[in-house]
Amino acid sequence: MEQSERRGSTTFIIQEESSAGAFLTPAVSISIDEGDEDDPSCPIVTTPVNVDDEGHPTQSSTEAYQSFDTVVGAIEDVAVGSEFQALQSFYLSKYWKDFEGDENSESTHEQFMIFQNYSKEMAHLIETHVKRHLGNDFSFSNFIERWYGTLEEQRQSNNSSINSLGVHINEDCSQEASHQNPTHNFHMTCEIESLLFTLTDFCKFKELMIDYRKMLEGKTPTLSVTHQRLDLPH
Amino acid sequence: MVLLQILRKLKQKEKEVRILMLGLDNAGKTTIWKKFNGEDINTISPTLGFNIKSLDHNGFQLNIWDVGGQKSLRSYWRNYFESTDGLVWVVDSADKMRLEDCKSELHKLLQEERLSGATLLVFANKCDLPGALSAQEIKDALNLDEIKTHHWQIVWCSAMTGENLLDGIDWMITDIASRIFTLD
Repeated sequence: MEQSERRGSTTFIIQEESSAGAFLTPAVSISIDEGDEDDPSCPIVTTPVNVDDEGHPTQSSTEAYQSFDTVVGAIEDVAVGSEFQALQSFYLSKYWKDFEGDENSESTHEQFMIFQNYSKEMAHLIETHVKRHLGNDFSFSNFIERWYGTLEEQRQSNNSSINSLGVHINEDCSQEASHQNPTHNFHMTCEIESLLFTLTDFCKFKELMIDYRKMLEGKTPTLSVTHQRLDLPH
Repeated sequence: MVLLQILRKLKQKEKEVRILMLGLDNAGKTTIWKKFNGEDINTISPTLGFNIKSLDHNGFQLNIWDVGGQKSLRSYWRNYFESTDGLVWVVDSADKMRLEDCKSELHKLLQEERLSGATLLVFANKCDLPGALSAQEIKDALNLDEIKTHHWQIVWCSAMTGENLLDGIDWMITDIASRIFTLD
């Protein structure tokens, strides 16, 4: 998988318009020009992770909440970054033809292997990026624990929203989004939740691919013509 | 990949149980899978890839994976071992000719490191067919008593009628829950 191949893909723009790429929409709380990823003066870098005397992250202060938001910010930052979008575009444009049928049809071993590679590469990208901003000592484990706490809280505050087919976070948050508590600063955006679950949930990944395929084949026929022309040898 | 490991752990907290269903081809895996989903079982063709579905059952979210069992495709099974809580091994109780093959494939799986923590449920399917072996006979033919590394149980069933399917799965979930969710 050559970098140049990814960058050479012309589907970047298509993908932003895709409903499948909903979680790529920049979150309200962050602006894309917040700072250069590699710029050490970036606000994200200057917000320290809170540690106690022995260097362990503190668990329950206001600062801890802020550092949670900092991590969310860092993940959001990578999600709207060009590297991330290029990687996802690469997978979408290279493999959409391998995803036929609908969500319920039989899946192929090839699809699963594509998913495994996608998952590894995306997770690696996010980890690398977040650690670059927050330091190598940063613990994903603590972060996820806190995140889980917020999910529990959300679920309790609106526990009627679990449907019969699954306890998926996305369903919770689609409802939750409409009546958010504005004072709740311990909240991760739905886009990021969806993104993280695409990495471990094959069905979510398959949905993403199928939505992309549908978009190419149905809603925007001109784009699929563009795509076919790219495949011509001359 | 730390991030992926943690996300998987999070899923355990969601009381998500991952069940992998394997067995020789024509054992009835997809019929069982469809029966659980309440889908039509009259038009089932051999599975070349796999099927997956999430179901809510007794407060657990079951992710049931049904992977095709043709000989040439069995090398793909290993792709699906990761994070498996329960292994369902489906046997065609009327297929006496292939019991030896069935036994060796099962015991090969039990050696797999990534399945070492999984509970094993053997479904002796098609028990209602004339000439089919009983669950006891299947147990002996597959040398199940030799298994010391996994919690296991054998249950006779009929995927066509649905008999005993729930009993089997309920045993499995109880066993898994006692290992994984004891902290709750």
